[in-house]
Amino acid sequence: MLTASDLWFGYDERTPVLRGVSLTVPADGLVGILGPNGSGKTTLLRMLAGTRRPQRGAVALDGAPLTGFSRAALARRMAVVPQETQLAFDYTVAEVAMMGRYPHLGAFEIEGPRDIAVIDESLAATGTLQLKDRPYATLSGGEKQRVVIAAALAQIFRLKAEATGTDSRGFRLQAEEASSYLLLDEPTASLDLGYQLEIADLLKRLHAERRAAIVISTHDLTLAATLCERLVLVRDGAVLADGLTDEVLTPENLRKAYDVEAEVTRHASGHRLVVPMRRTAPGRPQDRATDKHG
Amino acid sequence: MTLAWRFARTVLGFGALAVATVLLAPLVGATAIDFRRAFDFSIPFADNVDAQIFFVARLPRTLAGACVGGLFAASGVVFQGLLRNPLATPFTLGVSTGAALGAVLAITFNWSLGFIGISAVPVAAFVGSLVAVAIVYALAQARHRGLSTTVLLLAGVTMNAFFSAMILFVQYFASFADTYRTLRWLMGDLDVSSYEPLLAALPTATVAFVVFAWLARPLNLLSLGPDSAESRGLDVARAQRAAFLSASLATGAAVSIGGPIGFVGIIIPHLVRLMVGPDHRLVLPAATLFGAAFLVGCDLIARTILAPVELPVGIITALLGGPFFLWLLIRKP
Repeated sequence: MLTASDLWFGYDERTPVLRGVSLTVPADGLVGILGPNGSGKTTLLRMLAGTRRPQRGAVALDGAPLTGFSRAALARRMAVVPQETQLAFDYTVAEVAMMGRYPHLGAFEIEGPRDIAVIDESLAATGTLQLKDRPYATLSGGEKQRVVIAAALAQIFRLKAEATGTDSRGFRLQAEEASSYLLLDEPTASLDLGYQLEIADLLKRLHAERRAAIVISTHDLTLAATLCERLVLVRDGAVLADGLTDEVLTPENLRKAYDVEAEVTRHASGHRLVVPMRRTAPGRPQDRATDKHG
Repeated sequence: MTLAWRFARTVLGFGALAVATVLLAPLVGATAIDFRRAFDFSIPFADNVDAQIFFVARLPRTLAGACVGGLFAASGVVFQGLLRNPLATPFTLGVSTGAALGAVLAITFNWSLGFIGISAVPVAAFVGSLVAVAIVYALAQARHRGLSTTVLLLAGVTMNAFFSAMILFVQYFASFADTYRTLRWLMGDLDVSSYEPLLAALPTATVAFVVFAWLARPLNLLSLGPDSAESRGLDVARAQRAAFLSASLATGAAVSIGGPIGFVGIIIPHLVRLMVGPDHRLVLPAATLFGAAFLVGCDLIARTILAPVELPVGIITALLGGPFFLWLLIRKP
C-alpha cells in the first residue's frame, strides 16, 4: 500500500504546487490521478515515486516512509514512465529496456542471462520484442511508450522461479517484492487515438495479469473513465474527490475540477462515457503549465 | 552477443591498435631506427644509438600523445553524456581556457619552479583549469539543488569568453618573444622530451579513469533525462558531480601536458559510437584507446609531413577535425 499524507510542495516558496494532498493506492489498485493542466499531477507522481521529497508531509510504502529506502531499493519496487522519453544517444530498444535493470546490479556488474530473460519477457509483454534491435529513435510514439513501459516492467519484476518456456501468455514475470508500483505520467497525452487505445489495453492487461499496482496521472477523462478502478480528482494542488470511479466521475465534480458542464453516461458497450458540453467559466489565472515544470 | 564478449572484443581490438601505434610511432622520424636493434638488450644501452633514440628521444613524446589523446577522448565522452549533448567537447565548459590563462601568465611573467626542477607552465595550466572548474561548478550549483546542466553550459561558455579576454589582455603587454611562446602553446604541442610531465599527470589521470569506469552505467541512464534516471535508482546529482569533476580534472591534466589540442574530444567519441554503439561501458574504453592511437598517429604526421620542421599536433587535429565536425552537423541521422 502506498500512502501519501498531507503533502506540501512548491518549486519556489511563494507558489505551492501541492497543498495538503493525501491519498492511498492499494497494492492491487489501478488508480487514476485526474485533473486539469497545471493541477500538480506530475509533481504528485514525483512525490509518490520518491524522486522529489515533499516539503511537508510524507509518503509511505507499506507503512515505511520512503525516506528510509535506498534509491535502488525503492527503484526495485516503483517504476515511473514519464510522458515522453527522448534519448541523448542512439540506443537500441534492448539497451533502453536494459536500463530498467540498473537497481538490480552492482556498480561494476553487467547484465547476466537472468536479466536478459527479464528484459525479453518485459518486451514480449508490451508487444515490442520484435523491435529489440531497432534504434529507439526510429520507433513511432506508441512503440516508444511501450518500450519505456517494458523498461519499467524490467525494473520491478523478476522471473518466476517456476517459470518454464512453455507458458507463452507472458505470465513468467512476478513482482520483485510483496507490492510493486508502476507510475505513469500522462501515458497517452502525446499519442493519437489508436495508440491511446493500445496503451490503455496494455495497462489493463498488465494490471490483470501481474498483480502490480498502477497509478496513472492524466487529464484525459475517457482514459480515466474506461481504465481506472479508483480516481483521485485534483485541482490547484488539492484533492477534490477520492473514491471509486463511478463515485468520483460526476457532473458536479467535473464542473468543480474543469469548469466544464459535462454529462456522464454509459455507452451500449458498458463503457463509461463523459460528454463535455460547455465551459462554465472563463479560463482561470491558475491555469499555468506547472505540469511541465522542472 | 553478450555484453561481456563485446567488451572483451572492444578492449582487445582497440587495445591492440593503441599498443601497435605506440610501438611503431617512435621508429619513424628524421633518423631511421631499427625496431629489433632498439629492443636488443644484449647491446649496452650507452652504445645502442637506436635504443637511445627510441626510449629517450621519441618514446616520451609518443606516450605523452597516447596519454593526452586518451584523456581528451574519454573526457569528451563524459562531457557529452553529462550535458546530453553530442556536440559538447572537453573545452565547452571553460576548463581549457582556464588552463590557457594559467599557462599564458606563467610564460609572460616568467614564473619559475626551478627549485623543484620542473617547468612552471604545466603547473600553472593545471592550476588555471582548477580555477575555471571551481568557478563554473559554483555557478551551476548556486541556484539549484544538484547541478543544472543548462547553467553549466552557459557558465562554461561565458567563462571561455572571459578567460579569452584575459589572455588577450595579458598578451597586449607581453614581449614579442613571450607572445610567440604563448601562441605556440595555444596551438597544442606534444614537444615532450622527458617522462616527468607524464609522471606528474599520472595520479590525476588514474583517479579520473577510476571514476570514468564507475560512471559508465550512470551515463547511460542520464541519457534518459534526469527524472527518469533518478526513478531508475540513480543518484543523479552525485553522478553529475562525479562526471563534471573527473572529466574536468582529466582535461586539466591533458592540457597541462599538451596544451589545448582540439577536436580529439569530439571526433573520437563519435567515431567510436558509430563502431560500438552508444553503451558507455563500451564507448569509454574504446574512446580512450582509440583516442590514444589517434593522437599518436596525428603527432607522427605532424613530425614528418614537413620534416625536418615539426608542426604542432594541434594544427593536424584541427585540420582533420574541422571538416569532420561539419560532416557531423549535416550528416543524416
